[in-house]
Amino acid sequence: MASSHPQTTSHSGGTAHSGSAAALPFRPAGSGEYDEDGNLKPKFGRPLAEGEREIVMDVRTQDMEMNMGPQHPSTHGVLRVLLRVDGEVVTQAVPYIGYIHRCAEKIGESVEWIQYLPYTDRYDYLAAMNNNLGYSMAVEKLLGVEIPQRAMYIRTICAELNRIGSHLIAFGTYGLDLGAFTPFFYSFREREWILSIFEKICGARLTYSFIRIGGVFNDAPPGWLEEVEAFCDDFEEKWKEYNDLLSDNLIFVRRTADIGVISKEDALAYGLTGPCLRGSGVKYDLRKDQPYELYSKLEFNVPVGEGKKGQLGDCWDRYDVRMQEMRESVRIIRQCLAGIQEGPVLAKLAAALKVPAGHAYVGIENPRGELGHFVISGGDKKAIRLRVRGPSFCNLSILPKMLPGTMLADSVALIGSIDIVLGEVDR
Amino acid sequence: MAEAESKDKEKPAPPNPKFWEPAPWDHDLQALARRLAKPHGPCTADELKVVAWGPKQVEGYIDVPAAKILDVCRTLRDDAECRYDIAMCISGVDYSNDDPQLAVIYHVLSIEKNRRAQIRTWVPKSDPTLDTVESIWPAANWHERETYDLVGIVFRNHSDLRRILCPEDWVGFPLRKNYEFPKEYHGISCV
Repeated sequence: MASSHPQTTSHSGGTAHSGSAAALPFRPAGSGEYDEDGNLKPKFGRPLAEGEREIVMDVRTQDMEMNMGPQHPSTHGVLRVLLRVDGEVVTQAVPYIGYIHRCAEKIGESVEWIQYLPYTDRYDYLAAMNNNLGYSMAVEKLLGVEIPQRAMYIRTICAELNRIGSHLIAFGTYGLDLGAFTPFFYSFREREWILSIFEKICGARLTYSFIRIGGVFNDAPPGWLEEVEAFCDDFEEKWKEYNDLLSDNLIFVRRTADIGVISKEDALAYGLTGPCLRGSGVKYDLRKDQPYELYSKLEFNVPVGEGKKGQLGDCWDRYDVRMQEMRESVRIIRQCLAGIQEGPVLAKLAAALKVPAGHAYVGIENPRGELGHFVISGGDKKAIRLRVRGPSFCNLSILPKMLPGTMLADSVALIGSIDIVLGEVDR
Repeated sequence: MAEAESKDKEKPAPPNPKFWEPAPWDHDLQALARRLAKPHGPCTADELKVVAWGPKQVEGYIDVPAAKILDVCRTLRDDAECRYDIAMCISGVDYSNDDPQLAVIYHVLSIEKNRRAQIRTWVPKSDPTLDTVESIWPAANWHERETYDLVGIVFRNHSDLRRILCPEDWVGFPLRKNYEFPKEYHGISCV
């Protein structure tokens, strides 16, 4: 009875993932080992290997399949994970995505170059400025157009402000996932200010389409740069509150430290980028290692996970990398505010834009990792191919590898620590 | 004043003459091709065609034979000169309806050497099959599923080749140039 696997017909992926409890990093003590009277046989005497945990189950368990999502608050969108659980232990996980697939790549081939820009807002809607930037840079690479200096400064300020806004969501909702309600309100207080700053420069609060091919849509209105500076001053104080609230909170630490450890090798093999990769101790940030736009002139650190609260690469490390990055972003913004000069903000381009033929792949450091735009132009008004490499999509692909062996409640901590945006996973 | 502005708009700024040049972290494709050829790599020198960076097509790549893609990728990952440890992006491309072939382009990144490179391979539209590189980079799993889903390239020996973004009963491959939009889907009108 304990080993019977209920078969379901609602999904077709069951045969391909024949994960078994034998492959787990630990052995649930007593699973399937009962004496004639049905009592659990004790399993002692074998020393535990390093990294192995023994979980003693006091009730007879049975394999069960259950859906986490698509409507589940901790999946941050419409992600469905088909979990196979043995009691409280996940033995297999199959993510199903595509619920909000909006054919971004097909649309990219169907509309003109400039018209595609609003669609970029919609994949990672928490970091729309960064998406605009990535797409614009890819097209600019084919055009060979030079961007005015002032536009670059405004772009960098906006991208970094958006990074803070995005990480604030990651911070707030991660607390929410793990039962801490208050940080969510604190983070939204500051995020609200960021959104109103964006509203003042481009009129939109979420889908900006502000960074354009050739520069930015308009110049900063009077007083805008001063307000950004006031935000930076305020944010550095507020940032300390976040740490007091959550980072060192004992309950939070116990729910994230040593949970969901991603080794450096796994992170590289699964193509993780951004805070997930840096959380595993790999010091790699495109802004530093392959700098674009102004980043080679700016001074900032690249925070990496150090295993402060547990093993290197656990959920807490990934969380901490995001927290540290917010402070680095403030540093970057301050340098931009000091260096910005008067000048034009948009390069002159033809109204009916024809992009010269060619291939161009441009990757930029989004809050979630490397956002790559691979554009192929045939010299026409539309693209031949517009490939989007979304960081959330690639970061999520490690889920079937990471979830087996964790406790069911920890799967929430793990998914939250990867910080996905389903708009970008599904595109 | 308005006239002067409209004249300005008619004359876009000329492009930067050096715009197509590779960045310092882009691998010199000639050097990479020498590495992929024997004795280090699996290919003979005339199997590899280097399309260098240039103003006509900006980003360069190396065309490799489809039959050797697995060995080429293994060399890319393991060779001491390459060490490409991340498969950043795998894209299927249908260049045009007249083209009898589909392209698959691999963008790879080496964190150790801080380098990027891209290779391309071709498969015929009549039989679009290619070896999976999942065994080399597990990240390729989902990229290849997406390529199968949208472009219709079948990856041999893939562990779980299902549609990933479109529904499982979707008909056709949307990013093929001859794709026809469906009239309806489960009773939902698409016109």
